[in-house]
Amino acid sequence: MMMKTTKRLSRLFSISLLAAATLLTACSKSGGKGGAISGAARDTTLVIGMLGDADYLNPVIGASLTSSEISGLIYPGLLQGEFDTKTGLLNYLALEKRLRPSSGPDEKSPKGALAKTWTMSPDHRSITYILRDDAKWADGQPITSRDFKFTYKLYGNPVIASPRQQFLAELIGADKGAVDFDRAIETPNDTTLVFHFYKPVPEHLALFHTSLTPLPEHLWKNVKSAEFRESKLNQQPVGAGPYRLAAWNKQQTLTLSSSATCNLPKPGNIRRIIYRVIPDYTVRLAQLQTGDVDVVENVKPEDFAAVQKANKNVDIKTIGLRVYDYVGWQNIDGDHYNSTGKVRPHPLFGDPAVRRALTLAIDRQSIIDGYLGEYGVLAKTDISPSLKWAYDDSIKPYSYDPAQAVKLLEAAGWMPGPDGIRQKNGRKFSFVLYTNAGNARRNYACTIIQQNLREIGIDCKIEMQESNVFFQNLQERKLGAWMAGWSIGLEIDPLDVWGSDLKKSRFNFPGFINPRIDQLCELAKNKMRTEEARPYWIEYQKILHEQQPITFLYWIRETQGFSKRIQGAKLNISGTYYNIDDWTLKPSIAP
Amino acid sequence: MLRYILKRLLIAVPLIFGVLTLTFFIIRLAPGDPAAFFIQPGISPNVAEQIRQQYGLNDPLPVQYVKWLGNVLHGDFGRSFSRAQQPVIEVIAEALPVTMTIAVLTLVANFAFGIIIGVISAVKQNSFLDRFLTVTALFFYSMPEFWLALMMIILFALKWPLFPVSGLNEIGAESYGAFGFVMDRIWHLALPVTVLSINGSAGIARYVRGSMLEVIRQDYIRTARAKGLSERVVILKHALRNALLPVITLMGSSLPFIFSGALFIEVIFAFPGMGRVTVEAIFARDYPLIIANTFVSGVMIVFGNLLADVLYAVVDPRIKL
Repeated sequence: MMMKTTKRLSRLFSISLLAAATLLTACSKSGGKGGAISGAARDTTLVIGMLGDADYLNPVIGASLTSSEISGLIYPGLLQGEFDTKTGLLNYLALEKRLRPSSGPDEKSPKGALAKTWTMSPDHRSITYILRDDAKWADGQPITSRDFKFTYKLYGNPVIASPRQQFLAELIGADKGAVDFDRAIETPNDTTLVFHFYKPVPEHLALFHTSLTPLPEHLWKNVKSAEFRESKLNQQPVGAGPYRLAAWNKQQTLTLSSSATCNLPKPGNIRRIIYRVIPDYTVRLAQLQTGDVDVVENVKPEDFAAVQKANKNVDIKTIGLRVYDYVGWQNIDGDHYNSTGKVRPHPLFGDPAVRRALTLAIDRQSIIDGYLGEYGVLAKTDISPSLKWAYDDSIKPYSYDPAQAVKLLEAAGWMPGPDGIRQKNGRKFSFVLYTNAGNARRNYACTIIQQNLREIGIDCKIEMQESNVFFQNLQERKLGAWMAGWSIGLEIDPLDVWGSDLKKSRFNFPGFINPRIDQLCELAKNKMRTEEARPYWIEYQKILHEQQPITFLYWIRETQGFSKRIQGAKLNISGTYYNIDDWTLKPSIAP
Repeated sequence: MLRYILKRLLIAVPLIFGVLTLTFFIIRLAPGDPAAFFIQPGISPNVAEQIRQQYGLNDPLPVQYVKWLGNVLHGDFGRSFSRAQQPVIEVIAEALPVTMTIAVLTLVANFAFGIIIGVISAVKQNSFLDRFLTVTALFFYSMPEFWLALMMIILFALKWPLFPVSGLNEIGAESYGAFGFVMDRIWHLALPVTVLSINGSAGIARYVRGSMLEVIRQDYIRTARAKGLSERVVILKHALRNALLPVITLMGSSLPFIFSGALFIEVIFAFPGMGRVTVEAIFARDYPLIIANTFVSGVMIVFGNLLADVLYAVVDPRIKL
């Protein structure tokens, strides 16, 4: 009897739990006003697969690349940025003015810019923008110069902690510790916006730093700065760009719909863009194959054949060259520096001749051939071949030459020991090469490097570390040798990476000290025209090539999987979604 | 019985509190911190420091601990660092139902498959079928779940596109109506639940087989057969009921395992559940979220074990709590 009831009870229990759970999740859907996707709707909907969700759809605090890309479609810009693939220069366009003539195939329409024109004062201490008077926020309110001044105060607010604070570094008062907004930014009327700098600023830099995205003042003015990040307005951004946020199902999908009222430059061509969060790479790839997703970024070269065999409608598009891998060598004795604050050369890697030997000993081309194939380019320094205006063609990359490497090592006193490992003054040339776990390309490269070095009598062990751990150890100079990568900015500004003041240069992990590099960066920065800095960058590349503070391995052409439905996509170094609002979708043939 | 349950719950309070305190200090000892994300080229140099200041990460550890304790006692687990300052409770309220759905469905599938396979194995003891089922069960029991999941995707979503690859629903499933929506959800859950339960049911099958073999040898089963009852009635009515007694208790103790399995499954199938929240929180060093997740799984484990013990007492009158 007892048994019967228990059994019935447990059956009832499990059924009701199941029903409850299914219903619960069915009800927990939020903001499902996205509408449906049927066969016909598919022709007006683009689906992008992404690794992680956006953090804030707010240009002031959004930190991830995904957030910036989506924000860029929702919000308007003061200027329209354009990347000139012919020269590698960034260009800025206003409605009736451009910094320089466009020469490349990636020309942008200036109609997206809020500024009609600008004037740089003769002393280069101020820039005056005239704004268009027909631009409106998505809620119908006009966009005025006051919105800009209001938003710049938010960018500079230490409580809000915007990742883009350094854009304000030249404004009046910044040299004294805090920007004096009332003197630095003037708004004499709704369509005039003036920025004042405390020092002469080159025009391209002024344009770059004064064109941060505005927020609508009338919506945000009552939000306290301490509550800025938590504000519900972050969930319903009001912009003026070609798209609006239609639905945001956190960690699942983010839906944008074309904004019919947009005149900056026009409503997006594709009616709906859905970003799907798919954390696992293999699964993202599978979705690209089945056609559920139209774009997947960073498809690994080894997967191309399989994807294209499975789905003829997938194209691989490449952009670059922006990302490179390198082997870092600790130029200074890190432990000694940490304990005394004094600099002395690292016992193994302190000598430039030894570092050159290490580069000569590593068969970089075979890493490229074995893993990246046509999507890898031998690297010489950290100035990308895509930045043609600054890139030095005349430098010959070090070839793979173990014999020469051995000569250099022996000249520096590293002689073979009894066990085949080279030694000098009783110290073996033996070290650990660290890298972050979970990167197949780097694992592959490390193995080849280990093999190459063993052949010339250097013992190198490999150790993988969790990314957080690895990064912290790098910052604390605990690693003698490591393998990592950088993604470069489009404006050349390497002081953070190579500056001699190790306390100030946050990313000078190798501890490379060369005062001439600091001078060259300074000289280049003070040139009023970008192109005129070329001689300085040429010399800079020569120094890095000779000194080999690190072994530059290869530039990586990023490879993005695209459905052939997408037409009119232009990709370049400044992004996969460079002109996404101009893309169109090829209609599927009705069965 | 009620007194026993209350006593167990009271003991659980300091236990969970101890686990949380331990977690609080351990994650702060791990390298990296929530502000480390803001140390990268292109982000202003002072941002990381401002963020630390705001989150109170610059205070000495004991001060941070006391502050945190005060908040938790008020029931406030804080706001997530890595998820746009969303209150942690909200993050979990969104994620928990997803994981619970998977867990409950898996539990049901586990027992359904496990019992069927176990009974067949026991009744046909030492036959080819028994050997075959045993070996197969062992094979799946020792398969890592993430590998199994990827294989299933390759087979049933790519090679034969029968099931969707990822996500909880089709895009635009809201328009299918309530019934269509639920059916679509079930269709999306089929693969992941199968993967999770293959592993669990293999274990339960072994257990059922053992317990079944023990019961079949009992005198009252011989009596039942002597009465001339059909084999089916003997096995299903008389033997199975008693053989299932110890199995029922597994229900409680397998809950935590299903939760840990959900970790892999959610990342692979892109479900926004607790597993994924936990993994991402750990990588981002999102302290408040890690602690809250620990709290939830701690409560689950305590509850699961309590459930197991209570069920035992309910189904087996020989046991007194």
